[in-house]
Amino acid sequence: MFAIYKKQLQKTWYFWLIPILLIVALAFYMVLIWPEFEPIIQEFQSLLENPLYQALLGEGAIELGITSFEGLISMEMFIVCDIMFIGFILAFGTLIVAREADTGTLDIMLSYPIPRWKFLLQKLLAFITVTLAFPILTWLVTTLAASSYDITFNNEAFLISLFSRWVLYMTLTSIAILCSIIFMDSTKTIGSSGLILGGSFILERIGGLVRPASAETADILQGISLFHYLDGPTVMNNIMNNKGFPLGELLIIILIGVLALLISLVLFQKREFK
Amino acid sequence: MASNAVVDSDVLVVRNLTKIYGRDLQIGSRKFGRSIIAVNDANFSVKKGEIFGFLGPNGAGKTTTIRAILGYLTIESGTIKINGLDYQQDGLEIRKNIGYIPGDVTLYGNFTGEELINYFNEFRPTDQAFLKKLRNIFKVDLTLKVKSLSSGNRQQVAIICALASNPDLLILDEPSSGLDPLMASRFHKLLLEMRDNGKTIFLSSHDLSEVQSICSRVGIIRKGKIIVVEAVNKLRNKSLQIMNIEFTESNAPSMNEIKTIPNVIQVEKQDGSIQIKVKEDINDLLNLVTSRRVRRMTLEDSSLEDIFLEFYKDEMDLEKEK
Repeated sequence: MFAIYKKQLQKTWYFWLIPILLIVALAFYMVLIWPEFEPIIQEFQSLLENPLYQALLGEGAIELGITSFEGLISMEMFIVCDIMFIGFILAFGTLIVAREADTGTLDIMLSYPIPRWKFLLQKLLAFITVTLAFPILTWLVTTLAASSYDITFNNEAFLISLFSRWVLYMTLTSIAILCSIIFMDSTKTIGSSGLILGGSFILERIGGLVRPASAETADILQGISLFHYLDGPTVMNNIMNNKGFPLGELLIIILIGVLALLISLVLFQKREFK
Repeated sequence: MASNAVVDSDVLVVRNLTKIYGRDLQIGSRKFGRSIIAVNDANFSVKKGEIFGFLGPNGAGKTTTIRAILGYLTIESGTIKINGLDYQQDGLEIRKNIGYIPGDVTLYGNFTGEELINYFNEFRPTDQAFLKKLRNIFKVDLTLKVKSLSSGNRQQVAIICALASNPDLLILDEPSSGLDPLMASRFHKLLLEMRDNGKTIFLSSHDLSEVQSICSRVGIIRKGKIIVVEAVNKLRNKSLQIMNIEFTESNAPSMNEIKTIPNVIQVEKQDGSIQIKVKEDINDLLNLVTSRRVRRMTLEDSSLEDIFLEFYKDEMDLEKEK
């Protein structure tokens, strides 16, 4: 019943888990350096006044500042996660269908009595399962390591921010899958989903750059960028400063993700394989 | 041409199948798109317990027809029924009992043969007794990862996977390509055995000798149109026969005399003998021959290859002109 899910997990878990472990290692590294870093961290705060840094790190991270452990870890980690997950999602979006169509394995798979939507959904579920390691392992390792070094930090806010960002990544994955199904070609899938994901990431940064000059233009640019929503440092900052969780953003992102996935499932069920 | 009547024993019935790729798009005098009719009003049926050969050169529409049968393509018009079920509405039910080997086999490279068999078993349960037989026939090492196998061995793994459930209908697209002659012969023997056990086999192949040796009927497709569906034997009977005659030198008829005989298509002198290609009725030719003194005479049916080339004669002539 879950053969595709099981196969996908068995054969690809390590492939997806390695980049996640790198993120976890980065979080662990942040914990390791914090005790030495804390006394001198104030000196680095002025760096955040640089517009380039502000654009790169985002408003949430700047507001959090670098002088707290939460600020440092979210500032360093989420930007790395964003870049890593863009590559990650592009690879998965391509591998899920387009590459199978390119190589011909899809031809054989679909000659078996499996509903196409089930094939797609089980592969996605396997990816979701493995990528869940990102918020869980990162939080767990950071929390355990921090407690062993007597670092106190708001680990609840950290967990929520990690999960929020993960939800965004899953929505981006749905969009990459949609591209894969529309084009059924690896190169076109990478090109189109790369344009959407990379473009969205760049828009968010350009928005940050132009903000000092025109807040209105920045709002427009960042408003259409998916990376602007459920921003890790912003979520963390909001929770830590009792501004509340951005529920509206979560709903919008889930809606976009579910919609992209539903369109993908319907298209995949109906489309022809030439 | 094939009869359009559907018989109870017909497992696969294709009626008026038309598949067009692309669309004609013209804005003003500029053309931006062009449609290609890949399959044009194709009609044929495959009976239970027969091996049906599907012939045609590259680009004739063979693979498009197969992909339409498998439900991979949406068709412009026509119907495709397998065991009375509609290929699109009942696709899942149909696929429970189909074994398919595509023309260009690609399997998951990081699986071993065993893992692949177990994996596909989840979707179409394996017939263990038949699998044991397949293991005996094909000597490929199923413990090795597919990516480490040669193309011939990969083909064997694909055959084992497709046949492991002992399906009632096999759709095979160039199944023996890559197999060595010994394996190909074993595979042909297996297909004949499966046929004898009531299995139906739809075989698309370039290998005319393969089709001739195992298929009971063939369909020939040309530029998307099915030009003939006929039993192999009947096709050979209807087609050219080649007569090689060596007359005693004194009374040999002239070449022109032979050419005037009804049904004689071609006359050629060959090392002291005359080769005559004659179509269908050979009695007039025999009358002439028996009226002369003959030293030696042979009569042979044309091979499926000759028949096939005959159907494609116009195209080959055109190519020569180019």
